[in-house]
Amino acid sequence: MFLRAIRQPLGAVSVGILALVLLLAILGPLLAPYDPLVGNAREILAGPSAAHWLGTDPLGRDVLSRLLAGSTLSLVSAAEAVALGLLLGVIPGLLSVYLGRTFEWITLRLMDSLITLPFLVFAIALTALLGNGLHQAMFAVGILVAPGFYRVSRAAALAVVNSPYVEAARLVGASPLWVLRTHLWSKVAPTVAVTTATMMGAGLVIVSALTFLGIGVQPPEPTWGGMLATDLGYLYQRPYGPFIPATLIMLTVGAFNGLADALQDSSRSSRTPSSRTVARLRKVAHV
Amino acid sequence: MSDPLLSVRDLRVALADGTELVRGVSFSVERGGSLGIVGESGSGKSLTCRAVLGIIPEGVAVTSGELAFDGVDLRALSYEQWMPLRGRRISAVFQDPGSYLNPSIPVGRQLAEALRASSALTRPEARARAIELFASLGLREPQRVARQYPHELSGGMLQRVLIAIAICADPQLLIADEATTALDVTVQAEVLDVLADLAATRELAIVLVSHDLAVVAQVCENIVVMRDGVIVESGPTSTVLGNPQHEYTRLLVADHERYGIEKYLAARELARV
Amino acid sequence: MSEPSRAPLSPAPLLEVRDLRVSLGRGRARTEILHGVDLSVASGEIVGLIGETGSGKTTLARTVLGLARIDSGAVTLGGTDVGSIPGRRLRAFRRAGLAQYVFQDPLQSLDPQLSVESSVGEGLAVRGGLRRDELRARVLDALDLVGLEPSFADRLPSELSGGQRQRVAIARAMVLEPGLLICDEPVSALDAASRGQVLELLAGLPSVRELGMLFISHDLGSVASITDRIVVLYRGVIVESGSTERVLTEPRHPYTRLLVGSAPTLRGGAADRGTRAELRALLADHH
Repeated sequence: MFLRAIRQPLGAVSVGILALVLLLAILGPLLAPYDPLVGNAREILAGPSAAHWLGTDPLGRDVLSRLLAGSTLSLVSAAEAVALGLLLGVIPGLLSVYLGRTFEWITLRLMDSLITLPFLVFAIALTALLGNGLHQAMFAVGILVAPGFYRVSRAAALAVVNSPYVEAARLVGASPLWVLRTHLWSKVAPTVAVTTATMMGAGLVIVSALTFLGIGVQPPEPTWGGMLATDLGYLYQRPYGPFIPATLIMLTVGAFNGLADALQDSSRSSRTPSSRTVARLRKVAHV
Repeated sequence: MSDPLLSVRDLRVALADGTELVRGVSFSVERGGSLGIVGESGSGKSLTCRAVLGIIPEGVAVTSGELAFDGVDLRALSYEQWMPLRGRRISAVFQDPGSYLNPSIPVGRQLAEALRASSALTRPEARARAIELFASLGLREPQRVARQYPHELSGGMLQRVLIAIAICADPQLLIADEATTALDVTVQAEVLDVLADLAATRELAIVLVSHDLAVVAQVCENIVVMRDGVIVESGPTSTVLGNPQHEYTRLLVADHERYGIEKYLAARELARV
Repeated sequence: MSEPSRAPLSPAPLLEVRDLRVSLGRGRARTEILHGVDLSVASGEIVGLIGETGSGKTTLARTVLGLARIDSGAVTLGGTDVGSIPGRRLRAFRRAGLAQYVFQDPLQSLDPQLSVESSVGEGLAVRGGLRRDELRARVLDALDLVGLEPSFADRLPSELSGGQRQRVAIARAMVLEPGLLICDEPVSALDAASRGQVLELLAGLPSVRELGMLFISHDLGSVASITDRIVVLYRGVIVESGSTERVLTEPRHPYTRLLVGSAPTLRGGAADRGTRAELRALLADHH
C-alpha cells in the first residue's frame, strides 16, 4: 500500500519532501555551518549572503543553522504525541470489539469526552500542571489525539469481526489471535497509517503553535514556532523573515497531509476490485 | 379494434462508446394485458424497462427505435412532460422495496402523500383511502401497517406497500422489474397473486420482468425471452413454454424442469387422476 | 473428553437434534425462536430443511455449530453433546472439523485480501501439523473435488464469479473432511447457470465422501432436486417431515401445502390461486 502510494504523483512529492525534512532533522546539527546558539553581534539581522544563506536573526545567529536544529525538535515532539496517541487509541480500539459491552461502553465514553477538549488549551493547562516542557505538552496532545486512532481502528475492526469469513475462521477453531493476525490486521493497518500521517501534520502545527506562544521551550533553544514569533517582532528590518520558518512548517505539514491522502487512495484501490470485476459480479448478483 | 397501450419498436440502447446493450427489441402490450420479459442478467431486460420509463442511467442512451404509450411518443418527452405520466399512467416497482421508501416516515403517510399528489383528496380522506388500498392488497391489519416504519415491515409487506403507491393513481400500465426476486416462496406467490388480481379487476396492464420463467408464467398471458440484448422468442405463454422453438428458451425450460418441483407436481397430478 | 470420531455409516445418526429450544435477544427482548425442534441427519443422506424468513432455520444451523446457546434439549454431533462442551474445548472440537458450514452470501464469505489457497487452507493451518507443501496438496485436492483447477489457488475472490466463490466455500468446508456439511441457502444468490452446477456438485458429494448433509433453503426447487428427505420448519416448529417425494406430492400440514402450492410452475397458477388464499387464511387464523 505504501509503495503504491509513492507511485502516485502526490505521494511521491510528499514522501520526497518528508524525506528531505527528515534528513535535515537527523543530520541538521552536523550540517549546520554555525552554532545555532551563538550569535555574531556584528551581523545582526543580515540578509541572505554567501556566508549566511538565510541571513541572521536579531541576535546575529545564523538562521539556517537554527532552522536545522529546530527541525529535530519539532519532528520529534510531533512524533512523540502521535506515538502516544496511537498506543492509547489503537489498543483500546481493537480490544473494545472483543472484550464485551462494559469495556466497550467505558472506552467509548472516555474517548467521547476527550474529543470535546480543545487541543491547545488542554496542552497549555497540562504544562501548567506538569511543568513547562515540550514533552509535557506533547503528552497532553498525545492523549487528545488518541480518540481519532480509537475510532478508526474500532470501525475497521467492527467491520471485519462480524463478517462471514471471520465466522468461518472461528468455525474451524481459530483463536482470536489468529483472527487478528490473519484477517484483522491487514484491514486495520491502512486506516491507522492514514490517521498517523494526518496526525503528524496536526501534531506539527500544534508544536509550532505552542513554541510560537513560548510554551514548552526555553530560549535560546531554536524552534520553528519560536523563530516565527521572533521574526514577527522584527518585520520592519527583515520583512521576509517570518516566511522562512512559516514556509517550512507549511511544506512539512502539507507533505504529511499529502502522504495521508496518497495512502488513503492507494488503500482504497487495493480493496475495491476493478470496475470490470465489479460489472461481472453485478451480473451474477442480478443487478 | 384498439391499438396497443404500449408499443416498442426496434428499440436500441447503447453505451457512449457505441456498444449496444439492447439491439432492436420490439414488443407490444394491450390494454389490460400482461407481458412477461424473461432473461438472465445482462440480457437487457431491465434496461428496456428503464427506457420505457424514461429513467436510463448515465452513460447510456436510446439510440433508435420507437416507444409509444397510448399514442404518446415517449422518446420525445421532456422531463416536465414526463411528470404527468410517471406514477400516474405508467408506474413501476423494483427489486429492493426498502430502498424506495423514506425510512423516517410511516408507510401509511407515504402512501397518503402519493395519493394527495395525484388526486384532490384531503388529508383524512387520503389516510382512509391508504388503509383501504392496503387492505385490498392483502395486508392484514392495514391500520397497524399504516402506522409502521419501513424497517419494521418484512420484504413482502414492503413490496405490497410499494405496489399500493404505484397503483394509487390508477395507472394504465405497471412495470414490475424483478419485484419478487428477493422474497420467500410463499410471499412471492402472495405478491404475484396480488398482481394477477390487479390485472383482472382494474384493467391494469402489467409488464413483469424476471429471470425466473415460472414467476412470469404465473401472471402473464404473453411472454418475451431476451438474451444478449435481443428477443429470441415471443408469443403466448402457454405456447412458448409448452413448445419452445428457440434453443435458449428450451434450455431455460429444461433447466427449470430439472431443478424445479415440476416433476413432483406432475406425479401428484397423475396420482389424483 | 475424547476427540470426536468420524461417524461411520452406522445406523446411529450423525446429527441428532432433540426437543431443541433456543432463544435470542437479551433481557426483556428475549424471545424463543425454536420451540422444541427434532431433527436427524445420517451419514450418506441429504436432508432438506425448508424454512422461510422468520422460521428459525438460521438459528437452528447456528445452534448445531455451537454458535447459539441452547435453552433446553440436546444437539448431538457424532455422539458428542454439543451443548455440554465447555468454552475452551469448543475450539478444539471445531478444529476437529466434524461439522462444516457453507454460507449463503458468496460475496462476503471469503476474505477479500486472502488468496483462494489461504482461505481454503485456513482450517488446516489453524489445526497445524502440516508442512507447506502438504497443505497446498490438500487444498488442491479440495479444489479438484469442487471442479476448480489448480490455477484458482492463487487467485483473489474478486477475480471469481459467484458460482466459483461458492465452490471455493465448499472446498474450504470439505478440506477438513467433515462428517456433516450444513449448507445455508448456498445457491440463492447465484444466477441460474451457476445454481445448477453448484447443486449438482453438492448432490454428488455424499457419494464420493463419507458425508451427511443438511441443506437449508426456502427454495423448493433446489431442495427438491437434491434431497432425500425434507423437514419443514415454520415459526420455530417442525410441521412436517418425510421423504422428499412424499412431502412434495402429498403435503399434509397447511403450511406445507401452501409452500408447495406457492412454488411457481411453468403451467401457471390460475387454478391454485384460490387454494392459496384459503390456506393463507387458515394459517392466519392460527395466530
